[in-house]
Amino acid sequence: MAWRARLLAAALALGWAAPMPAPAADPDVQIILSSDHDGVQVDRKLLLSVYIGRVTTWPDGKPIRVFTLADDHPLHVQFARQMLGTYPYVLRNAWNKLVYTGTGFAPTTVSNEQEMRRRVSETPGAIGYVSAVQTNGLFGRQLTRVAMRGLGASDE
Amino acid sequence: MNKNWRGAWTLVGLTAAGAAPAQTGDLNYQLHGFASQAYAQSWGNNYVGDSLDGSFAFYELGLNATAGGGPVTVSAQALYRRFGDLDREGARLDYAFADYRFLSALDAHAGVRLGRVKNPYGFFNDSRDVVFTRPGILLPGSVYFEGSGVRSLLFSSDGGQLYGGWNAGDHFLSLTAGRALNFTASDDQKRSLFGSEGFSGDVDIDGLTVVRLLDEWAAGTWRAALTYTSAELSFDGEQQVAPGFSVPISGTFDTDLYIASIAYNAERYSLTAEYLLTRFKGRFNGDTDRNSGDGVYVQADYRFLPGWTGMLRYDLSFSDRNDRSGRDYARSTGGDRHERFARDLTAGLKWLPDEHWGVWVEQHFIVGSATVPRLENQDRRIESTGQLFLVMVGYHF
Repeated sequence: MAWRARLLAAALALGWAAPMPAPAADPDVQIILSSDHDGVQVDRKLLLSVYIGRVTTWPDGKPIRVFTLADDHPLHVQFARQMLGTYPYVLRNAWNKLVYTGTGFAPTTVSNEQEMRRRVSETPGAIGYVSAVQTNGLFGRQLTRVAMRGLGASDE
Repeated sequence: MNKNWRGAWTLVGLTAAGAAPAQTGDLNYQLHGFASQAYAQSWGNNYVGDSLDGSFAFYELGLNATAGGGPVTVSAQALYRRFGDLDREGARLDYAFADYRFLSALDAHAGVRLGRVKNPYGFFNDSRDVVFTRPGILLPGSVYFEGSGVRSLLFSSDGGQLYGGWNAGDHFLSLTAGRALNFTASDDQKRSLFGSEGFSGDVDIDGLTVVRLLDEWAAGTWRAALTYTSAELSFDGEQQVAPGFSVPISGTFDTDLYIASIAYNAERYSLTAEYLLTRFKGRFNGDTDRNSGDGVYVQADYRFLPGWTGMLRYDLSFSDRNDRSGRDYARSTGGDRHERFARDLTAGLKWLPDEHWGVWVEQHFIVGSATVPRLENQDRRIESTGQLFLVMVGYHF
């Protein structure tokens, strides 16, 4: 679990930098980005466009890799409702449509938040979400975008 | 357009490879598949295969792969499908196209697809072979021609497609416009179109055009669409009317189809409605002929427990919208007025026990025989009412 130590070290070294800007209006769900795109301002509208499959590349032209938890995962339900303003089944319908018409890529489903962090950190162009509450429990402060950069820099 | 595609073994072999979204540098690729098997039991008429006797002749097996890097994506799907006698094509290349997205901004995108593209007709045509993306085991016959030969003509076409999408405030507007190369109907399609084996000759479909404008708003919880489809259908040949006796038939029809679609998705329930207007205008054996039919369905879905959805649908089809009761037809031809319409009340249940499996059950109560597949009822008298029970088990990854 070298990445955890590195994450902690990176987070400490960076002095718990400023929290993620919008759309983290809700404190319970937090958007995380891979280090190579952590400067992108992800507002609610862009977040929806990315998760529903309409926007597939970052402003620099690099492909966006979308990660999600399972449809019935409580954090996913919360993410869909609070961050996107929709429901898991509406997202699933949209993803099935992309997949079976061959017009896009469905998000990669990960099994838990730990895997979410790991996959987002090691995948260029990745976006995902984690529970801010759990992060508080682990580190006492919100996992920040900058901390994610530290994580992304790990060579695990 | 001959979709016959030898090599079902390829499909089976690939299925064994499993599902894997993956990334290599900027290249993104995904492999997905599905399989479903239905059992149909009917009363009154054969609706799916020989469903009066109970039929398993309704199954679907598909495998698709999509790969993309930068603005270019390629995608293809192999499908093995059986739907009674109406679809006996077996294995086919369902779609295969290259997609070049020449505009990709945060608020707008646009691109072009070339190859065998799926036609975006109404909400469900472009993914109708996957039960997980359909609103039931059977699509509403009023709009999607489930029981007629038009279905396979509509599904996908060899040609090109332009598409674009715009974020406008809370709304996302998308326009897709496709044009198919002229093609000749396959033997399967001809058999379905004419309702029997009796036609010998050519059926040509020229200038097939499908245009759909879709508006999605409130994070996709509202969707509305307008679809326009147009083609020239011409046929020239002989129709057998009795053993050893045929008459020449020929005709050319301009066919226009207009669909208005709307759907609302709430947390526990969804409401979906689509209306289809058809116009045929042309010549049949030298005489001018024109006809306009329509159809509509309204469906309510209720998610009463996690994984469980109940469905109620009312589906109405009319062969002539100026004679919806069929009484004028009965007066002028002496035929049964019930042949000119169908009213299908459907109650259904869907169970998704996990992310891969699904089980569907459906009961149709049908008055009128306009949507009864003639091909499945060739040597028997068609009843004016009937019932159809369906159960389907599906798997996808």
